[in-house]
Amino acid sequence: MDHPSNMIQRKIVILLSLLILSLIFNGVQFALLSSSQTIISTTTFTSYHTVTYTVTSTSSVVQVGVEVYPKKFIDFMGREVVIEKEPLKIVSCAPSITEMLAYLGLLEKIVGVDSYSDYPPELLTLKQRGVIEDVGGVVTLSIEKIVSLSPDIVFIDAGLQGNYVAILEEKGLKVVALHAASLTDIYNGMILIGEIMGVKEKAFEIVNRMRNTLSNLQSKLNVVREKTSVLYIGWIEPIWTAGRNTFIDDLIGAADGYNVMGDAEGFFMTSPEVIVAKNPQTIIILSGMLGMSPEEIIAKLRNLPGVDKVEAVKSERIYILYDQAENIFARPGPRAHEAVEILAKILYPELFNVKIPNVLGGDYRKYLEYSISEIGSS
Amino acid sequence: MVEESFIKYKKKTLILIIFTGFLALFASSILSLFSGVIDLKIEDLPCILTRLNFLCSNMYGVDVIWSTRIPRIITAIVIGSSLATAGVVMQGIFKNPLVDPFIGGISSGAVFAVSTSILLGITITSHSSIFAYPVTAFLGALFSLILTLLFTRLSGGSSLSFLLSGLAIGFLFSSATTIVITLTAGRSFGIIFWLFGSLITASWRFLSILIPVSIVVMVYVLLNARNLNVLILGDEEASQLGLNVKLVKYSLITSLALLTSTTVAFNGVIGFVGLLAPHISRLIVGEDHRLLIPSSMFTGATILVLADIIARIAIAPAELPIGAITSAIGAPFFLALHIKNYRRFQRTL
Repeated sequence: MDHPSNMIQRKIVILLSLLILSLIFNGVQFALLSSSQTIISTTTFTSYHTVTYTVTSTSSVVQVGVEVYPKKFIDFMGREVVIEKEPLKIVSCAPSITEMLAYLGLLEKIVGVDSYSDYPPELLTLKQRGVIEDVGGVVTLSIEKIVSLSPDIVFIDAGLQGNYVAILEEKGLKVVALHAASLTDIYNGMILIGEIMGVKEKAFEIVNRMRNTLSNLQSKLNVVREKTSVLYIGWIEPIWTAGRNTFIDDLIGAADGYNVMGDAEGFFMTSPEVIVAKNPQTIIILSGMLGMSPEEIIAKLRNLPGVDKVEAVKSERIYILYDQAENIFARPGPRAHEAVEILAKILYPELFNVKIPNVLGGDYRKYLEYSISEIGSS
Repeated sequence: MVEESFIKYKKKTLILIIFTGFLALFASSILSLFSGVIDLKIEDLPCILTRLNFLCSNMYGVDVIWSTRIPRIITAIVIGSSLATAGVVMQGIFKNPLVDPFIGGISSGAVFAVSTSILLGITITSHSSIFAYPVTAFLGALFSLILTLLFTRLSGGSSLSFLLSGLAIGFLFSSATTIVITLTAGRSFGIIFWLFGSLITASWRFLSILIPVSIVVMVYVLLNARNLNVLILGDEEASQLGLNVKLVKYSLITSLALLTSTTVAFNGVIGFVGLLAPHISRLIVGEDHRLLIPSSMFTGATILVLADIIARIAIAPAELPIGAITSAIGAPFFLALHIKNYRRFQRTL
């Protein structure tokens, strides 16, 4: 016979062990999520249900005949997609994809976009007039709304919306997954859309223009002997930053900068001590998410312990990007080369003879010389 | 009559607890002081401690350590001992070993307030104030605690009704947070911190509030250690012994809830240390709260200092959530101790 207090003790041990296990799992889940490449899909935190999938970074475009349907493709999740006929109605579930579609001249085929898609301005007008419907936030898509629009193709972002694929397919919809964590991914994505929608030439034209812009920029950057170091801050309290294998890291690399957090991967939290140790020469802050004024952001940054010793803070090379200037950095889309140009000019002002203001917003275009700007211009 | 030798024995044990506790805490703090991305040598120790120019070869590094790492170690000590104290006393009051310091919906209330504030971009003080989110979190915790106490009163005022009211209020705010997080999409970066807890934000300014609050509450709790021993006997027995049960209980619950809310306000919900430290201490020193509370304080502080080292260096420059690490290092220790205790118990049968 067990002593009663012994029984109680045993029960406590069992219950505590279960608690310990669940806490460890939560921690591991957090670590996995925070190291994933994309901005975290919040629903996974709340439902404690993570869908894991691998995003193939380069899609191989398999083409079967020109402009002859059905066509067969491999999308960015490695899925085989067969397009039976020319798609007439499309839904885009991410701002970056919406921009790609618009640049390819497919705006009139869009019947629905996510709530965050706000570019180009024509899109906003169409949204206001109700021609293009809102299908919900990027991680809170309304399946019912999408189904009710009966689109021929739904474009989703594999990083944010990979778990929606099965749900949408089950409703009989054709889903194509795109995902970009680098400039190369953007080119491949553009070409994939071009192939699917029958605007391949246009896609190649835009991709080539982006590439040319970048190579012109990079020939200018050839003289750079010592790379300027950059710290990206996506959230300030606590600090979230980006390491390698992120879109922002790819942009920094393309602008010939040096990402001080490149020794870690993905998006992650870090401490003020690490920032002081890394001592970046410039700090780039995307402010839209923070919901604060630039002055408040600077004040918060200066309040971090030890940060007054950081070179970027001492030399006031803190750049706060908001509105569309932020979007070109946050959205892996057809304006990515503009982001590279802005960044190159931030990092090497003496080379370009231009001073980018510390706070840059919707008027960022006036600082561009290399990049194509407007949709449809050639 | 209590025998004199027994009192002597207890006093001796207390001194032993304080001595070994200090030793363990000091050793882990020194270990913590020398781990991190900025390299320090052991020769720098006199310079770090005194900050006198003639002792220093690496003044720059030492300055950085003083503004970042040292406040962080102290925060770990303060939060660890606070949560452990709250845990041990709450477990005593409710006579329930699975109660943690965050009962009463404190954590969910704080997280909900902060998430809403982040979503709406509204804070009570100016955004640029470092106290903007802490104040919000604290008010959220306080609000949920008041709700819990109100419902406890309405449902009879027993310990069980406090636990159940707290559970319900906690779920209410958790679900509200879930909705808010879903709406914020990309902004969830800031909310994660509060959900998992971290010492990243540690600074002298936060400590200037954290330290006084924790000292006042901890002294109050220690003065009540004897009352807690009486309370353990049961409410009826305690009142027969002349204790104002309701007053002692609710003054303790409220002051500890304030302490926990303060820690949540600055460092988010650091889980498990408040559950684990009391249990480890209980296995070592037994049920007497006069010994149990101090030993829990030291255990909690040491666990958190050690966990923070791992959080900081395991995947540097990135940080791990400290809550997961506290359980990862504390749990095996707890289980080993428990098995040992069980075997000793069997032998005595």
